[in-house]
Amino acid sequence: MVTELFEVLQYGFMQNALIAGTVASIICGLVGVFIVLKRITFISGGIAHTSFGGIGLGYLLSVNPIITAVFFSLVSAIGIGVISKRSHLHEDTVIGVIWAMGMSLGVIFIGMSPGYAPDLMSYLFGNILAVTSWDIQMMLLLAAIISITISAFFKEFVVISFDEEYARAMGIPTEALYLLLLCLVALTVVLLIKVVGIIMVIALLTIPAATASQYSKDIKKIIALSIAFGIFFVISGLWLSYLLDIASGATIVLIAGSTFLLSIGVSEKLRGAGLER
Amino acid sequence: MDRSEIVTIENLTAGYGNKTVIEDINLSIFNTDFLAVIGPNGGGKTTLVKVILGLITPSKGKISVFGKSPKEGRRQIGYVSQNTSFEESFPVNVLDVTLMGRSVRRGPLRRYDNADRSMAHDALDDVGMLEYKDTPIGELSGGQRQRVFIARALVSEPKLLLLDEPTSSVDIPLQQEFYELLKDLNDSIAIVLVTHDMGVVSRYVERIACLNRGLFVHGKEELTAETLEKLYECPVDILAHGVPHRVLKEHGD
Repeated sequence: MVTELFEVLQYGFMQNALIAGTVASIICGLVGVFIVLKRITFISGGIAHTSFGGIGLGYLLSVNPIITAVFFSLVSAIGIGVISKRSHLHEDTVIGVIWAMGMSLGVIFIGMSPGYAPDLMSYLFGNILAVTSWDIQMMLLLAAIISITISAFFKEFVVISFDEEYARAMGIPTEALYLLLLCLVALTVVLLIKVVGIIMVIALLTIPAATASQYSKDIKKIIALSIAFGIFFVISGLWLSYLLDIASGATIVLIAGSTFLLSIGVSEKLRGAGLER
Repeated sequence: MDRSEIVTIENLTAGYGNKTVIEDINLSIFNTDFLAVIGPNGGGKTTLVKVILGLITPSKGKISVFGKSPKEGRRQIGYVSQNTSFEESFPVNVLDVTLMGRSVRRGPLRRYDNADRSMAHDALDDVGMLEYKDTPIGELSGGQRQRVFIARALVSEPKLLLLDEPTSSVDIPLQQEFYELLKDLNDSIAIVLVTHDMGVVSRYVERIACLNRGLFVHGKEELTAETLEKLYECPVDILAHGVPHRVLKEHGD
């Protein structure tokens, strides 16, 4: 089994998959921590699903759907952010509406485009083994933009996540920073599409960070730990899916989800032991 | 310290949308002040705080903060909010929280430097919380947290400390200690605190502003039995809430 593993590493597609998985894990660690701390899991799920409209637009315009997804998801992130903050309705209601509209637009665009839609399943459910070197370059570009922005505004993102009211009172532009964070979520979504697919993106965005935050009270350590969890999920999922010949994206998500559920049990135990001492 | 006016509010009316919450108020805050703003819930205390911080634009009247508009002048205000809005498990320690007070001064794209860290140490020392600097904020008691939030406000080197309901989460026996801390700080900066709890405040503050849509300022010396009459100038609906009654009784006996 181990020799088989080394053999398979010689294939270009497997090397691409490992690079893509590692890049995805690093970015998920950086952005996921803020999704968990700022409690924007649902809005991030909304942005992810809305980006399907962008995939559809790519088919309609005969351009690479990843390119149109970048723009579409940025616009929808800002749209969801502004409407949900400014309207008098509950935020989750607005998110739900836009979420469904984005997916519907995708369906209609794909229906309008000539011929049938190749690779559609890989956008919805991911296909990390089909990642091309163009995809890798695109992922590296997005990863660079995301990580530079996060490090530039790191302390501001921490302040607005911790205590938005205080931040606003101190003259920190909280709404602009919030929209910037949603844009980073949008770019991360696009980066993850080929790895786990639109429908399961939210799992990789939140599970590593949520798992890691049970074991540390230091944001930087949580980021490092969630990157490690992400790499573990992606690589073990990839390997297991290869061995069992099952869908890679779904396997990665199931491993991540099971680890998260197990770790809730473990950290409760640790907490209980701590209390007894 | 020479007495000078740092916040001037003239004939100011403000609220949310079409709803007026505070109307035609006048208030001067001085650099040596220890002022309490009291009044019933819904009387406009938080609205006044937001106007001073430039978060609400008044519909009528004028306000200047350190001779500038509130949005510019608020840099010299240290703000301590009601201790409600953060999550217990949030992964930051006491030093991290205190450093947040430096974030506006530092600006984006830059990390906190050693100067920021040493200022944060000093501020934590001032409020008696330095020994807890590595403790996660969620593990502290309400009173300890409030001290850390004061340190976070002090670290931006304010000339005015503005506190909104600072003792709402502080255990009653510790409240006195808390006000003693504010009194010490008042040697170098102005203190304005907004509260609906008059009992403890009355021993420390020098001036009291009653706010219930309108605003009336009283000196400490007025809060004696003889000046009872003068306090009745407060609108009757304030008194109906019972808060000033309690004050007056305590000062009367």
